[in-house]
Amino acid sequence: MRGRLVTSSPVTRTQDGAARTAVEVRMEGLSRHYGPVVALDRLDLTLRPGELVVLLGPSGCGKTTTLRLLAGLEDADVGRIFVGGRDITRVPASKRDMGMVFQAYSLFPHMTVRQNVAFGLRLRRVGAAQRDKRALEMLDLVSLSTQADRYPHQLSGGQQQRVALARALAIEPQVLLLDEPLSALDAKVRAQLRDEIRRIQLEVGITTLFVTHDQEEALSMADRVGVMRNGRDENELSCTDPV
Amino acid sequence: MAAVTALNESATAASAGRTRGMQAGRRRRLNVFRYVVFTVFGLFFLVPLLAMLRFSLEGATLGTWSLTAWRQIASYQNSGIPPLLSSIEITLELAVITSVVVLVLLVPTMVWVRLRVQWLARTIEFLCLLPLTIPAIVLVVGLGEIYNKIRHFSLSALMLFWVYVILALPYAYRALAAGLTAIDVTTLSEAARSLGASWFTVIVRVIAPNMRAAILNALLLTAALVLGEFTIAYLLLYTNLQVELYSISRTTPNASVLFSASLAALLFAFVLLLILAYAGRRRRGRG
Repeated sequence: MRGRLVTSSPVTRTQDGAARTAVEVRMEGLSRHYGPVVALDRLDLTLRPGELVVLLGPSGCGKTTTLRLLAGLEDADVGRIFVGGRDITRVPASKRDMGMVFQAYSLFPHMTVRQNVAFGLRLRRVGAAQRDKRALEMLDLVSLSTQADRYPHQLSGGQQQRVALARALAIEPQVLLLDEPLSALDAKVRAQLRDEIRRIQLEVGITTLFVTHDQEEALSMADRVGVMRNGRDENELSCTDPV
Repeated sequence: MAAVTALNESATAASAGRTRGMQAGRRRRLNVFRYVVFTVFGLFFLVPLLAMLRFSLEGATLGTWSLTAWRQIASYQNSGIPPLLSSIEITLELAVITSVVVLVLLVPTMVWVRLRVQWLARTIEFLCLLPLTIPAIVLVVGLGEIYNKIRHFSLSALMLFWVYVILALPYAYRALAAGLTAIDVTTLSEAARSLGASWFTVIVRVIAPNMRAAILNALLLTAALVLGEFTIAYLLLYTNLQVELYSISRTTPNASVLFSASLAALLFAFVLLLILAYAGRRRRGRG
């Protein structure tokens, strides 16, 4: 993927109505070893601004490792990561400005849905009124504004993942990372949520990396699909026009 | 065909009725067993306590009632030994300090080990459980030298918290470890980190509130240990509540004070237990 040129930069609106340009994400020669096991082997990958790229592959192929390296939850042995042209390889996860939805349910059990969504804003010292407004907007986006005062254990799996998506988007991240967010859900909910994620991603216009092992899921959502095997991007995202 | 069906149905109904009858009988027997066990164990604990209460209310002559022993808890004084009230105060302070130090030491360490240095988990567990295997007398021999030095700086019995922290480690560790396994620490902390939380925020605002029951249990066990500790304080020549009670039992002309004070200490522990249990239940029942 090295050397791909950026052709356009979708523009989105932030909470104060200011224009915000979607960013390009570039990973260069990323490698990661766990002892003798090579999880990632000199991976080059570029995400164009505002596009949704899906990494597809079997378990252990390195797709989740790629996502975790991009999120800063793990450090690469070799290689560099650029977001919007800025080298963030050594930036800690808490300062990377990325929203992430996990495979496991990751809502904070002791907080209500509203508090969960507002958590990132609270850390950014956004005022209470604005925080609340933004949280409700985000919950509206995922059609869950009526559940704002419930606790995570009172929600279904699909609802929890939608709240997690709202929480990830509430901080207006530069990049959205989705780590098999649908794999714990049943088929019907999965199909529904898949469409919803794609709708929201297009609406927000955020650069997104989605990791899955489900081919149908990948092809139905992605702008581009990267098939991974043995820690490498096998087809270098050649499938640019998914079905 | 219809007759066969009807026969089958009545046979099924009869068998279901029999099963229900057997279940009801079993439930009744189980309930009787429960009540018997509950009564026997209740009496086992309550009779000595009631006897203590009666003795502490014994008047000047046999068979009379008096509150003198309870009033003397506050005013009792023995030459050369601090008053009982001050030893209660110092023991409570010790319980608070020890609990806080144990939590501040253990919670971040255990979370950190779970998230970043899993290979250290066994070593940390071994170190934390080690004090359980060392008798108090051996600890005192080892710590005697250190406490001789500490005594140069401070004579306060509060200095006992150093050794109490070590003594409380195994109990607090077990309680906290149970709480940590009950939550998905890795996912919660990664979610919080990706939202911009520092490690301090992750521990204080995300992990700790979700292991509230475990933290309360650790607090309770630590406090109970400190409230009941005698050997080390006595051998290191400090006076805490238990040492004070012991010296009263050896010197007082009015033994009822000993019982009223012991009962007061027990009541305090019960109240603490109730508060902690109530706080834990309120959290679980929320929502």
